[in-house]
Amino acid sequence: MLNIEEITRMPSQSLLGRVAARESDSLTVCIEQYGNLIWSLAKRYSPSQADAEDAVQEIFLEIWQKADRFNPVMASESTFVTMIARRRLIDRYRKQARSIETSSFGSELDDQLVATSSSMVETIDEAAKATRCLEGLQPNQRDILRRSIHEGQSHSQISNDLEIPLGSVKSFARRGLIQLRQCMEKFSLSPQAGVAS
Amino acid sequence: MSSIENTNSRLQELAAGYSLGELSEAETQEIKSYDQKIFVAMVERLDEAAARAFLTFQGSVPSDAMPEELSQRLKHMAQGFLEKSMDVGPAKVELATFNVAPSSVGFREIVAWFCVAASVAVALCVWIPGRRNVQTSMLVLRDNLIAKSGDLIRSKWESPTPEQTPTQDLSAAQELGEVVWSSSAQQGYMTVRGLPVNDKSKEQYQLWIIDPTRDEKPVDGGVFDITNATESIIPIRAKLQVDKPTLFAITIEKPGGVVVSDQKRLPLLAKVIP
Repeated sequence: MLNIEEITRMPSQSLLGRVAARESDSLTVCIEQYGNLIWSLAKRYSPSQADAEDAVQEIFLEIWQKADRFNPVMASESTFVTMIARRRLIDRYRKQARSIETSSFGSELDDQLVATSSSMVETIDEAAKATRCLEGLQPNQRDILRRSIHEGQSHSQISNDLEIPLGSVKSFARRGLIQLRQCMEKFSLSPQAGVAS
Repeated sequence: MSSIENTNSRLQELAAGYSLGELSEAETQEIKSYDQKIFVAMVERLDEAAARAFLTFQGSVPSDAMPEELSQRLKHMAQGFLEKSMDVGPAKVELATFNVAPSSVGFREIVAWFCVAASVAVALCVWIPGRRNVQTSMLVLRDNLIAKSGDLIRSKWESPTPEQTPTQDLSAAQELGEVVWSSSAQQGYMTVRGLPVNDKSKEQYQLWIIDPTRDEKPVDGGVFDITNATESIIPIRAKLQVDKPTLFAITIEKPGGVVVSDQKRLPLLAKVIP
């Protein structure tokens, strides 16, 4: 178990701790480590490549500004970064009620697919537990959450694709996310509320 | 089920809708009738679950490679951010300087409480109004473009006719803001002061860019809203390549903008002086 000294030392040793301390190469390393992950998210949630590029710039700025709030006791860096990115993307496109089509520029990027980033490695343990929680959901709930959270599809799009009433999609997605959270708490994935705002 | 349980259940459902970015207008209004601190804390827990779910789903598929040009742009931006940070001193790492008083409450709980309190405070200021942080980011992005671009064009907004001046206050009219543009980066930002806040359901502002070297037709620079009558920074989203702009113009159009503007309502112009 970590003692207080070890815990307080951790932020300055982590990448985000180095970003918070404004170490010279830390921001570049942060771009290299999380660039593909954030780009993958932004691409799915944005209506065009130009919008996705704007969003990525805003997300990195926010990560650098909020890096001092990262707490390794609460979550991994990847989770922290993903929380900021998702929130920014949702805030950015909430006005459009996420009625946007996200596939408009995907095809031209298919040939740029790369192997899973090494930044994901640290989340293997978290991911294994999260996988168990996701497997605990009903298959249709899991599919709807995957489409909503991972693919960035709007509930209307999901409703059309799966030929399920919009109200049911909304209900499945919300209850699925709540159930997921409860399961993660049960597995003590996260002792308290989140880390980013 | 008691009324308290009913309330919590409903609030949790709304928080899940918010976390998924799928709240209706009526639900957004409904949130205001609940305790905002509890709501924000619920959203955070759900946001974290959603982030972990995303990473789990993402772990089973290859990531997309970020375009090299964007990566380079981010690295330039990082340099500007670091230089700006150095101007105001290094960032303070809150956790490292956190004063842990001896108490029966565990460090974990203190840190957790601190994180929740800090994030709730920020969330209340930033999430619900939602725009201030965006404007701060825009300011940094704009300043970075100004600092890094060798071919920066900078031009002040003016009113084409006195009667169309967006504000009747002459002193304000003299400072309507400016437009900055870099053709090499194909990026630019408008700083706009004094334009009236628009009702986006009735009309929206649209930017046009004149570049005689490419076409006589103005290039659509993007549709935008003014939510702050004092000052707004708006990124330019040129739909086509712009190499040598000579004029920037803001028109008022129907929601969503138009393909060709009749320019009947033209509150601001910015001429590029060679």
